[in-house]
Amino acid sequence: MRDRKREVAIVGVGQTKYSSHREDVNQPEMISEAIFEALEQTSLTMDDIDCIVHGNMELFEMIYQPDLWHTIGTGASGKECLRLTTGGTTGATLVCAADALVASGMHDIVMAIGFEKLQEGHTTGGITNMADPLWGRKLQSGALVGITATQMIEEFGEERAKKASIDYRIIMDMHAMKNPKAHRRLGLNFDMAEDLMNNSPQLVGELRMIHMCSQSDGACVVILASEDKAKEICDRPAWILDHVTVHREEHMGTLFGFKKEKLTHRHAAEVLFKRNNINDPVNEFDVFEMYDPSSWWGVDWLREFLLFDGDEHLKLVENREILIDGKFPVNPSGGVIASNPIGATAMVRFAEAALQIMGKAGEHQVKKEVNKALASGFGGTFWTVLGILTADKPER
Amino acid sequence: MDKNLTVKDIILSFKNRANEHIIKDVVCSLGYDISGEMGGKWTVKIDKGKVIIEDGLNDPDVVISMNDEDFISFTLGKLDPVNAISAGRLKITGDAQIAQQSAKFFKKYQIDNGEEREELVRLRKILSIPQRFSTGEVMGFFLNNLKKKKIMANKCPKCGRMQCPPREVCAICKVEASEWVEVGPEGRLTVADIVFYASPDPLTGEIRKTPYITAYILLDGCEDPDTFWHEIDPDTPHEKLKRGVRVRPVWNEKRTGAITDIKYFELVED
Repeated sequence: MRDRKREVAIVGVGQTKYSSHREDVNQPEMISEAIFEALEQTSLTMDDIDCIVHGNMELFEMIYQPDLWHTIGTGASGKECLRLTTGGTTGATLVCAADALVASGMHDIVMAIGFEKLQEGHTTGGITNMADPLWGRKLQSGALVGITATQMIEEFGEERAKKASIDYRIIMDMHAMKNPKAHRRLGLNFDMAEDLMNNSPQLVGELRMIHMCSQSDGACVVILASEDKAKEICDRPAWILDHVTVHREEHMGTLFGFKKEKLTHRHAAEVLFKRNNINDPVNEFDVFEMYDPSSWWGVDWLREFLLFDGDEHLKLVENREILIDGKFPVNPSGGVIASNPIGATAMVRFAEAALQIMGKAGEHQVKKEVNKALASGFGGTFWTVLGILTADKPER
Repeated sequence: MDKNLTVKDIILSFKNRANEHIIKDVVCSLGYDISGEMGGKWTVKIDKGKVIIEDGLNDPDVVISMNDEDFISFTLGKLDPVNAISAGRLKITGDAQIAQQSAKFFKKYQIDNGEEREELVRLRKILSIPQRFSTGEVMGFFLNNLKKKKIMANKCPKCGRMQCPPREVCAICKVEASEWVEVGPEGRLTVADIVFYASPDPLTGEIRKTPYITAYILLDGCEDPDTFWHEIDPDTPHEKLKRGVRVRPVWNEKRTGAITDIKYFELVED
């Protein structure tokens, strides 16, 4: 991906408040809220936007041309418009596509829109239908998987694994409390750990309700601009250094053998870090916005993305290093566990990472200067999009 | 929040808020155990259209416990019940289904401030889509063999991996996997998932009975980590679902060439 005609930066971000209750607006009305915020932040108007990339998970609301219905809310009329759907990764794929459209020289300013109104559909039903209809559909229970909890308990013992997972959850809620846009802000603290990890209702095995992400309504908008326009629009734009998309075969069976297969997250990190000379991710990245659908996956995936082998990922959580003012802040926004409008969710990771670089994250701004940020998307039967944003314009 | 609104007001209002056409055949009782300054204990009895409110918990079918402020926020629609349950702020003891249904028993609580607000319309729709999927030759062969109680895997001539269910080509080596091998029917459990969350079965549209157990099984003759995804007898004691334990399929009497030809796997007891 480093072979590009010109550099591209995120210059503007807009988000609705994420919520389980947006009965007060329809889909185009909801999306336009995020668009207005992004336009206001950049002082651009819709006339400045050359192209719109629009996406969500169509299976959830069962509307197959949302981009056409939404034109009145997106301002796409008369502009080039693309629609994308790649499952949970949709939001990140939208950013990658917008990046390619600008980097290639095809457009100067592109607006990417990710949204979901999960209350208008059935999320677990929608996700279950992603499975192979001849076999997996009977067995899939949406995105609810307890196996990671079982594996972590086997590897690290029940007490340590359960404690790390609930501590991660509490840290995410402490972050969400600082983010007025977050959906679930429960006011958790570490004293509640014991009660929550034992008494929260079980969904699948040791995956309990408290560990799992929300189902949210909301939209996210990111505006990307070419190198000659970026600085005019934003004082400190978030440059797109690189990104990688990794898919694996669709059959889940190979993930859960006696022998542990390499996850796409680890493969993505290996490829991306090698290409960009990242040797010490924990010290080189100032913040990580990770797509963490549950707190068990959150803890486990730190190990994959940061290329750990032992228990360093547990220690990061146990030593509270992932707190917003810790050594390696993870999800100052509260992450996916706090807000999950699925088609927007992976975009929110890139948008929040960009806000951190721009210094515009507000109350959940990381205290230290953010020069390099990592953002990830996750979807389907374990797919990964992983990207790096920088404060410095990348050298070609 | 309305400072004058008390928990007791809300409890007593259940009587006037009853949806009579819904509760006309319902007999049940809901207990409210509300902590805090305004708290107290009440039992709301529903008896075929009548609502009776009693002080104290008089052996209700279900008890809903929360603090006074949360109860008021919840009544006014400002506190999401799912969030409240996950945060441990709302506890339901007893028959949770009654608690869930009770949302329909009563009309929404309205604060009377003299203003009438126009209610936004929400349309409810249920989609039902009949679907027909072609199996193709390879999956068709595999499914037809299930009718004969045979589990067939196809082997990659290059890496030796055994795909089960099979595929036309090895997904890794991208070469045709043409050799068929009968595997199992017994195998070893690698990992199981005990599902408590009741979601609809997409094949029937019916809510699944919980808990049920899904599992990954390395069938005899297959190569790790190509496991076989199926279910375990839901009556199996959970503590017996140990990694490596031996399992065997229980076949359905009537077999149609589908995943349901195997009812589930059961533990092979020594």
